[in-house]
Amino acid sequence: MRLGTSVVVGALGVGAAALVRRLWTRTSTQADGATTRERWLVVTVALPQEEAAPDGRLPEPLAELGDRIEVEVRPAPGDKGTEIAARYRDPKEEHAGLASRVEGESPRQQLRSALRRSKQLLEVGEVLRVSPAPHGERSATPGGALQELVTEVGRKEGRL
Amino acid sequence: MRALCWTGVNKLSVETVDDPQLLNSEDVIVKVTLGTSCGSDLHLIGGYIPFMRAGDILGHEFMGEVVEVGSAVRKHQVGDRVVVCSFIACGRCWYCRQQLFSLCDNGNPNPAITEALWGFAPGGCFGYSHAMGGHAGSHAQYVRVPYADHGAFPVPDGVDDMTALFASDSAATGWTGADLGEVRPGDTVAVWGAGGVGQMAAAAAWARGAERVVVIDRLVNRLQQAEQHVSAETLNYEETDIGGELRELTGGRGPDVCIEAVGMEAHTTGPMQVYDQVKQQLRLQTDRPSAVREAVHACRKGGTVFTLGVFAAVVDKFPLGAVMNKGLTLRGAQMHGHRYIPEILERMEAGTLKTSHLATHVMSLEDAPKGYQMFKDKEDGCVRAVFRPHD
Repeated sequence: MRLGTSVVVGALGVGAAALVRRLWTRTSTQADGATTRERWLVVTVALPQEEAAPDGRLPEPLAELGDRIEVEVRPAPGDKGTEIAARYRDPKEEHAGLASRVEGESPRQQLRSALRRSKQLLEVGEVLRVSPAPHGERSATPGGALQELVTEVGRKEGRL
Repeated sequence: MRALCWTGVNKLSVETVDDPQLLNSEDVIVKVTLGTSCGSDLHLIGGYIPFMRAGDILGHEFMGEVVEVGSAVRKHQVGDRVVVCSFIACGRCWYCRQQLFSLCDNGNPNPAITEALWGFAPGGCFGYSHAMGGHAGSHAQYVRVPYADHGAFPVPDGVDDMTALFASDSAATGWTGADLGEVRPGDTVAVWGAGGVGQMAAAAAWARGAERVVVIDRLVNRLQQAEQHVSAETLNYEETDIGGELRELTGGRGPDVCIEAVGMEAHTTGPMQVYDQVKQQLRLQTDRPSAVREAVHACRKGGTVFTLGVFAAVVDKFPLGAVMNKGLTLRGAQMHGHRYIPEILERMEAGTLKTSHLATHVMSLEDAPKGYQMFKDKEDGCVRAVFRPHD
């Protein structure tokens, strides 16, 4: 194996290990053996509650999910702003197949993306874009395809 | 436009690519007049940070002229001469409000990778892989600058381009290390690494009132620069025992603040170099931390060690026992440039901060692959290869 290739494979391995650990955590079970419900997804917005959710109104990305989600809005301790927590009312919505997750279409991913976009809209006024970014010639490689996939779902995945 | 692209591990080429576009209302487009290589780019080029895609444009330390302005930009106009912070920060999230700009919640549109690796995602950075947001780099004729009112700074008329360039990252990173390392008047500060960032950390230590500043490296020309341009004492670790020298220089106490400005590809002497190299190549550790280990051992009891060099993931044989039993403060950060660039530009204008000597090799962007090779190999005394994209 060439040095360069081994470097990439090794470092990707670290990332893969972190991802596996995360997936493992998310499928953990309770002491009685029952599968736990997915946690609330929560973001903290650097605004007072009356500005983050005036009269209880939610930012558009969350409002679009309507009654499918339940939302809690509360002040963050230490003057850190407002916590917005959300999860699906129907636990069945939380369980999606790997295929929909790879495609970035799972309900959990949609909720995560909605929370992230809501935070940016509230704090900055718009969602930061990065594409299209200028770039040179792309070679068609498995590593490149994987990188593209990870980037595609970047805002929908993560520890949020 | 022309741009320097990463095309594979240790492969670079200058290609014709699309021009950047305004994508958000707070963007500006900057015509890049100068950009410089940075030691942290070598981690990307060598594949140590494996989140580059073939064709990605490199570069994060630059200055230029504003040529296009988004509808919500208030502080900049077409024609402004600006230096741009290498990190991308919104200026309004909680972290930005604490002036911890490189930790911005909104600067990285692709947080999944770094959240998986590190627990939480830092902000975005120009040309620093998809892990740091996938923002196109600045080794190009033009670059899009998001959140421009926060990240682009007008260059005072009295500051020439080659001086201002290094406010973008090197100087601001050095200031981050000395400030967050809490260098105090009267302190003795030791800096590992005499490259651009190490020299600027030494300059920042003086600015915060240090009484003695010692810079450690093995490359004679860089040590000479640290002596001549930053007025630091220097030590060559290939010629002397650093721990012993530092104890002798500090009355047996050790430095008050130790700033590590080397990063994940550190060299050392003796068997530990072989050990670290083997473990890194076998992927049993991602980073070689020899300078950090030495700093932890050398630091006085109750002192501070600041990791300013870039690290990616995990290291081995880290002397945690020394950190705990000596009561050290261990701290690190990417650069919070938005916090320091105004002061740095003021010092440049006043003539109290010199940086242009770092630009040892200035060339056209077309020669950038050769420039990076010289920079990597330290050929011909190359401290920084600086590129002119419009020559």
